[in-house]
Amino acid sequence: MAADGPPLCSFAPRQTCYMQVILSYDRGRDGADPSAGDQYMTSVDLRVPEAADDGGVRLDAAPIGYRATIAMISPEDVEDDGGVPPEELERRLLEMGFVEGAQLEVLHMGLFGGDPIAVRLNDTRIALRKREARAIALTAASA
Amino acid sequence: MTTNIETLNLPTPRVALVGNPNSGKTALFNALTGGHQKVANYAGVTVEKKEGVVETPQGRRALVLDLPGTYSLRARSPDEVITRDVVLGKQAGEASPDLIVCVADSMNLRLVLRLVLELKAVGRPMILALNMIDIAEKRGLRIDMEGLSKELGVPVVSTVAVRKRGLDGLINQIDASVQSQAENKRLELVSPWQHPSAADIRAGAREAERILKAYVKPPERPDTLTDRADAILLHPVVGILTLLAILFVMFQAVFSWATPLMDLIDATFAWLGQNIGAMLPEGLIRSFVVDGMIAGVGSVVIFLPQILILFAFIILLEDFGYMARAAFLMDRMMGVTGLHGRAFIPLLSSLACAIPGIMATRVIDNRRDRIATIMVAPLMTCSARIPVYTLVIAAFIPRETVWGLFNLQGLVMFGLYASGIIATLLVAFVFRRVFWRGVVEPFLIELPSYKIPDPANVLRNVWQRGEVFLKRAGTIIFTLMVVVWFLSTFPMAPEGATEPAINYSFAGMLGHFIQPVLAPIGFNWEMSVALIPGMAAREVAVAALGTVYAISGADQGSLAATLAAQWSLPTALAFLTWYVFAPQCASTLGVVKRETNSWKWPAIMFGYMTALAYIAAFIVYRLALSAGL
Repeated sequence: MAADGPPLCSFAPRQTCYMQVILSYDRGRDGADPSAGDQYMTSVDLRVPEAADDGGVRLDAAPIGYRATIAMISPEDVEDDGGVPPEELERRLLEMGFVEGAQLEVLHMGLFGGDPIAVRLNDTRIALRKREARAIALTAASA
Repeated sequence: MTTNIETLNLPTPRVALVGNPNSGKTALFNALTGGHQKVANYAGVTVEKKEGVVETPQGRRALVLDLPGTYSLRARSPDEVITRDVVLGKQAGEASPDLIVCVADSMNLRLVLRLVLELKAVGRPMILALNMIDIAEKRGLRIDMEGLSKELGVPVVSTVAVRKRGLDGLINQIDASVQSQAENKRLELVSPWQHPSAADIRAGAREAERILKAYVKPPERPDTLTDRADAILLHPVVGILTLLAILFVMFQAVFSWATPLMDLIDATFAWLGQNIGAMLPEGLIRSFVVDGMIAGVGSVVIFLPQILILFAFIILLEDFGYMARAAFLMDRMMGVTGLHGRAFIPLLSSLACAIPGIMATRVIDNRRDRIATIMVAPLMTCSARIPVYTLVIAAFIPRETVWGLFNLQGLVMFGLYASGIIATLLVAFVFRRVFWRGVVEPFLIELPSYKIPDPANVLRNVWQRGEVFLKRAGTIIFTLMVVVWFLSTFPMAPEGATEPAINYSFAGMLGHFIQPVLAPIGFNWEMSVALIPGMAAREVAVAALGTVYAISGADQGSLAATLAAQWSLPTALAFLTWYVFAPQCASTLGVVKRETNSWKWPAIMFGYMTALAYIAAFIVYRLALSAGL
């Protein structure tokens, strides 16, 4: 998986990644069929669970006012319901400034289901849907 | 407005303006080229090509291209493909640019710096223009332009496009670059640019971050106004109410402010027709000039007030920075149908008239979203249906109060509008989720800082829209009008004809020919014939029915009374239903052809809308019959 892309966990310590694998295996993915579990074990794809173990969250689960640093862009975690392919989504997010290390603050959310989300990303304001926000793993700012 | 660029004897150097969206690129383009610009389309696509001429104080002229805004050369939409291909010299019929001017919003340099790095890989001479430097200065942001220029290896100038500040510096740089290239013969090199991988983009972003930290001092007084405004305008409840209020005013404006102007245009053309007609001998030439040409031009110009008013609103909202917010607020609701948040305003505008609505779909960058929106826009109940609805309702629906509260006539009118809206959403759903399954484009847009629009720019852009409509859609609409006139006129009625003249024409023959097909939905031949000239515009059906009935010696008196006497209630209901869905508007089809640059989409639109109209009218007619109405 993603053989020609950068290693997914290149920005997290090795050990963290290992723990994430275990966690995601335990939880499975919401709505995923059980057979997908086997894929997890054999794949080197390191999926990060809902809440990262360092206390950070995914952007789709972050509340308004949440300030954080982007820990990792992992588009493989976006539900595969017919969006652009993960590598394309990753590049689009990167082009809009969603890069590891960028400062982020959740500003607004839509009326229905808190979707879409508006964030301050460094000096810009950007809106995106929850679906794609799931690809963005955050580390809470040490305020 | 246009300058004859082609007749210049020297190969004019070409300057391409590239930049992120919202960088004030078009304002800079306007400031550089003034009135010397023309709008066309790139060959084979609907992307608008804007070019103009700049003259340097040294007497050189350069052709300036305003390319669609982008974050990357890795094009994601048809607009961005154009930007990439022009920059790389791959666009058919376009020479590669001699110079790239990268336009940056000085307050927002991070993303554009990454684009600059990508553009540098193209290997063309480049200038970086730091636009809106006045706002940056006011906020206490400092840019070490010299250091930045050295680091990037390109000249860096600062500009304030809307105040025409810093233009001399930019023009001098353009001149110097063009001159040095004229001296050293430029090699047509194959651009070394390649699609960047995610790793490349990451590296670029990191490099941009490093450059930013080194040469840009962050603002001392960040923009809090936008945050405060967004607290209201993006509020889940208050924000939506504000949006609805804005839309209400906009809709009112398009709907009612345009009416006096449209009446004026209507009266002017009627007056012209009468007076010019009086000068011509009775007969074919008079009919062609009055009913064909003058009425044809009139039918184009009549849309102009609505188009100008709608675009004045859209361009103002865009320039304020509000359009992206409207898309944010409506995205979830539109998302249910598979459409983009940006589809909302074009669809709402279509309640006034589908033509400006379809033209407004230019704000949607994804091609499939845009085409799906165009395809459903005519299902929204436009104002031209109102005369048809009111005529038939007045003739057939009793003025009763139902459930002690509602006026039955009003209720039917509401039902017709509601059917239109529901059909719009359902068909959009079918297009986006059934035919084009599997390509949900991410909604990822920048919410720019609010800015006061520059009136000169707004006026210029609004006028440009009007010009584009008159020149391009206008020619198609005019041709279709003449065709409709031809069909309703030839062959002419024989001597001593007893039937109305239209009955002997091609339109009459066509009407009689399709009548058996329309019989199952309860249409008589008069209705079938009226549908043919009724293709000119929906409201023309009223006049066409008048022509068919009034002269055919049916009951005199008002048309409504005639219809009430001639049609059964199921027929009337079927006719109303037909008008909810049927593509009875040649102008709409013409604009769709123009906007999609192919006859395929108007053909599909005509096909599906006719099918929908037929099926719906059939169901209504049969239900009404079996209910014993």
